[in-house]
Amino acid sequence: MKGHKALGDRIAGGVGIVCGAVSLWQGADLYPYRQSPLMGDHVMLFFLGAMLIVLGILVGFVFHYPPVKVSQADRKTKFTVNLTFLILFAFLIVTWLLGYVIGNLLLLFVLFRVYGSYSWIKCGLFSVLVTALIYFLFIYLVKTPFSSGLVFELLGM
Amino acid sequence: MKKITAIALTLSLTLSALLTGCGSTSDSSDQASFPDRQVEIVVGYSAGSSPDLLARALADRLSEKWGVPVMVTNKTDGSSATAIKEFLSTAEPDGYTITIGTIADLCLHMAVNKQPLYDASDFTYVCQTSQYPMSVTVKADAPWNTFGELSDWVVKNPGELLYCSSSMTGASAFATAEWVNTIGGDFNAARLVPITGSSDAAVKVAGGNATVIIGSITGVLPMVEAGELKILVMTPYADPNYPDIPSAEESGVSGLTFGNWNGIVMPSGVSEDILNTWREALGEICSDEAFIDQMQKVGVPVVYADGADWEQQVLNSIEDYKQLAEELGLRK
Amino acid sequence: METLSYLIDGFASAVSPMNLLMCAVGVLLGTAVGVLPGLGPSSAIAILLPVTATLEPMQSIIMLAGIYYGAQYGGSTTSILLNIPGEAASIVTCLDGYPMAKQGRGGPALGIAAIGSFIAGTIGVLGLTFFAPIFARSALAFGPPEYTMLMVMSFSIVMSFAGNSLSKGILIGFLGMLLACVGPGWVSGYLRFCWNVDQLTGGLNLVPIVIGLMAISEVLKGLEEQSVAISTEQVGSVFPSKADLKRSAGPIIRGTFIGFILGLLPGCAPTVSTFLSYDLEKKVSKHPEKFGTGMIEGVASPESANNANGVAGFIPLFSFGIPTSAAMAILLVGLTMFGIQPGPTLFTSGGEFVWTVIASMFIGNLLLIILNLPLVGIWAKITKVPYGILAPVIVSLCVIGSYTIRNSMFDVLITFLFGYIGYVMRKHQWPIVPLIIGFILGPIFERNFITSMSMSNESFLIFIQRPISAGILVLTVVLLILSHFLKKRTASRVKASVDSSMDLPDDVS
Repeated sequence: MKGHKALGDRIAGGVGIVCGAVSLWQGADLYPYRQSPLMGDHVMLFFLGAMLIVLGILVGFVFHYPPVKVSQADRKTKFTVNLTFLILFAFLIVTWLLGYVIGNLLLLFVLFRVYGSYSWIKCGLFSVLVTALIYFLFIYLVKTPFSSGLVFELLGM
Repeated sequence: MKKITAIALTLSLTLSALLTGCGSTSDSSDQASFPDRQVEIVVGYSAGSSPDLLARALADRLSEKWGVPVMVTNKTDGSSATAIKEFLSTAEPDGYTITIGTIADLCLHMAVNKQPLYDASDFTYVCQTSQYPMSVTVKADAPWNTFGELSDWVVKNPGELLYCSSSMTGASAFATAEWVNTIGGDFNAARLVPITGSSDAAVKVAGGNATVIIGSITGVLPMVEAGELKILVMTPYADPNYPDIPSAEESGVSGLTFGNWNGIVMPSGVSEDILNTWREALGEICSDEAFIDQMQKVGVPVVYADGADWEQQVLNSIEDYKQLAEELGLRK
Repeated sequence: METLSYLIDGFASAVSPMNLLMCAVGVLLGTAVGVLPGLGPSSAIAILLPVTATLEPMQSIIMLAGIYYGAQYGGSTTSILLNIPGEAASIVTCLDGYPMAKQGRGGPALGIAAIGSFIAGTIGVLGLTFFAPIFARSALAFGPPEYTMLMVMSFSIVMSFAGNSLSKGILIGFLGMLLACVGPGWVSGYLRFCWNVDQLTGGLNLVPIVIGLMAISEVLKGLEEQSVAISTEQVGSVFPSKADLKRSAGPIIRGTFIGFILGLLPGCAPTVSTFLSYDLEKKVSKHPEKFGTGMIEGVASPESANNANGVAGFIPLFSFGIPTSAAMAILLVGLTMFGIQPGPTLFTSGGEFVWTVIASMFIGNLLLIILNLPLVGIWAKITKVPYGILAPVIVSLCVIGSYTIRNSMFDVLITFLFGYIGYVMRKHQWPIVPLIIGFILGPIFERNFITSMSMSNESFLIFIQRPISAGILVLTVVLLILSHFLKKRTASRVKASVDSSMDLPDDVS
């Protein structure tokens, strides 16, 4: 009995093929700067490119794997997970603008809520506590250089 | 009417005073009392590397001299060239931020790239702080005992030379290329052995996997002392710390000029006064015996040079190596 | 023997109150930092280096070494208890350590990690003492062709970690290799895959990727599964049982051996020895199919290999000034900063410095056991902390762990990206470990392969003409054949014990 093709396998195969193609393209760009056909920056790129395309086709379209149980969570949880990912990126932007300390404070605040469903007040408390600890350990004691944020730099603070 | 005029006058006077006050704070701090706040030295190399050690030692001395904090920042999330690019785009030409570059950043980058990230005109050249003569090292039991013998062999056997460098456009490659070109050999036939540093090169040469390494002496010294390697010459000039090793010139090969160096630069447009303050301070530090000794111990030979002469030298080098890169097809 | 007397002198110096204190402080600080999820030895050293800068050279190096060991052990702690490796070399420990923790056996796992590391470290220091010069010279015989073959052999181990699907594992392994190609090329120096993004011009760093793939994805997965806490089992006995110790004896010795030999080779990442030793244990075990479900051998061997690897790294470092790993590179920087010239004389002339450092490394290992074994019970309780509190803290620490490597928020971005990628991969049951193996081995393979081509003028014969290289090639083929038969044996065993017929993927024949 052959298993059906899982979406995951198709994606993996697709990724392989695309990456392989990009690798071949970049390799072709670098071919002129070789020392010799088998010695240059293109060698690895051509090798990987070819292998990735071949394997991509095999994994995505040829081989059949036993059905894999992809754990499906309910809509709400899926949404929460994707939201968390967006939160992480929002953190990066906030940190860029307002600096690490504020960014971390907000990140923790939101995450405590998402993960633990604590009341807003508890979240605030926890996040202030942890951020303060981090600040003390890493910024005050050890002086890890964190940027203070674009906004503050522009304001000359 | 009078009251309103009076108020309006007072307001506008206050405003303009404030504005000019804001404006002039930076101006006055430029000339009269430079430096009066923290100075930053940006280093595009990681902690512990030669430029970094140099920067930190200078930072110590400068803050002592000037009485202001001098901070060293390592910018390593990218290559050293992109660190300089970022430096140029964020630093003000007010003398409060400087950077240290090596020959690769300040010379070879422009020589090798048809579209470099920055150009010689983007900089105010402050001074050179150190110069590293390169050692030409081969395996201890290799058949050549002088640089002359090695050179002859290279000319007679094109395609047999296995040289070490971080890449075909690295400092060691340029040094080797200049040498082979000068003696009339064929550099295009030479084969590259990529390395990750001078100690890696030492391993390759000692293991018989490469013919020669032209590079910094500190990486090969341990192996030389262990009897695995021998140094033929120092180029482009003999190193006063190792008087036993002849210079390339003495060994019969003249015309070699390539050597690594560190230079201090600022964004272009820094005022004459501030530039002179910097040069004065650095000149003093670099002629201090204790400083020279301290730097020697960590492998940084202090050789100070500044002024229009030095700047011209750098610009000439850029042109020379552009040409060399062109000839060798290394220019992209 | 002369060297023994130097070692003894070194011990005498190392137990001086000041040096002992430095060692203890280093070990404690290192463990404290390493135990924080998302932070490993690399981050620990990056963060704590400024602290050591204010000390005398010898004390600074002793403290740094202590920090390194402590962080390594701390990293193992998070690997076992949280499935979050402190560094690439701890990844293998997660594979069997975490299942053990979930079964409430976190204590014994931690204990064996400490004990294995200690034994490996002791044997390593002895090897160092008596055979350093010999080892140093023989390591020189390893040239580019040998490394290339070694990488081929190591990559073939990917199959161990590919689960049931060989082709997927290899595909992912190659993707990992491709990731490592971002940055300047070896030959031309021109940029690959950078396309105007400045921060990529230095290439991608391993640590942010590992933190993302393993830690962040773990946290995202935990959110999806709505874990209450990592382990709801009763935390059982906190010490390894007699049976555990007996089972671990062999793996510890074998791991030490592999780790030590590979640690002599500059340019061979420490992670390689952990993978190889784990794979060896699988091959010699009577129950290879149980690996990944909580076999203590799978913890004992890599941990010992890792520690032996670290100790062996001192040989090339002190003999020739060649660092074999990132930590060694930092130690070399330390030596340079204090103007100490590496060289064989450093070993044999009885340089007080070297022997004191070596002796204090041993003491560091001892302190680790003394300080940490009692704490194992406390660490194990971490698994009972509610996820709602633990997870956000982990995320926050991962940010610091990634950031401090190169002071770069871009690396944090990479961590988050790979966090999502890792999460998706886990959901679809694609193996993650090959990606990391590929990323580590790719550059080493590429550099050595093209160098071999340069040396041999494009001839593949060079791999066969050189004895060591040919030997490794033969070993690889033998191991592949062995793997094949072992797989068949396991499959038939499983088949025999299951009534219905079993589907095997097409590519496993």
